[in-house]
Amino acid sequence: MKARTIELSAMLDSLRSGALFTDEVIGEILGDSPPPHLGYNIALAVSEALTNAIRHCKSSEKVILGFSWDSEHVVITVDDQGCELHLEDVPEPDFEDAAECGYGLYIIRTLMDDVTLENFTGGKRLTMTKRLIEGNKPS
Amino acid sequence: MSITHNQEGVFTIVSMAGRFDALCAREFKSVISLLLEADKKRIILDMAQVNFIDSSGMGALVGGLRGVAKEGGEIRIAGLIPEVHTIFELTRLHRIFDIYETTAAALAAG
Repeated sequence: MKARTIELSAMLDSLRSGALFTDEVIGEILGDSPPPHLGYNIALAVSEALTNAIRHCKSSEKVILGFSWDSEHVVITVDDQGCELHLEDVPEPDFEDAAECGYGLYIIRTLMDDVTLENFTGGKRLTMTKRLIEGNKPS
Repeated sequence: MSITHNQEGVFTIVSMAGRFDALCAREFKSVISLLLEADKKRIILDMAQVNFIDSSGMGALVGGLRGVAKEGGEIRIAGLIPEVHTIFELTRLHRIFDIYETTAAALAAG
């Protein structure tokens, strides 16, 4: 299994570094002929996770983005030092009102095959897993 | 992301290029505010060169749409690449925007 990690300051400016790093790693993972939308969907989930993490941290804190992968799966982790959060407490977006915000976790859950969130002393870790080969989404 | 605009008859065409995320949302909102101050309320967003959008970018578009509608104007969206169009559908926000394949089609719609 291969792995890459980057540490980012918890500031919106870091989204640029995070995106460049993500694009580079996705290229390494998927190679020259990626399945349609797969790279975009991974990049989108990462962008949503990084934005959420940065918004829930103080600017002096750090966010760590990590990728590990083999031929079948990629596992992406986003560690932050922000406040505790539980996935079951995050509501679905208000689709009827066409809300301006609140779509991030919904998008991540829709695009990724498995999503978990662990809280620990001094921070939390979001883990997103995506299958890289064709197949049914795990139940 | 880069944002430029030019006038085509009654429409202001706002051409956007690059990545549209939380980092660019404030700039977009600022451009829309300036256009409204200049009484330019009929806007076409040419997004053909936007190669990435996330929910923060989508939120900025919704905010822009509401701000323009409040002033009696309109926003039309043109030129979405398939990946970006998918996010409109995923968030179901395609229902609140007038979306056209090209800027020419948006202009021709009257």
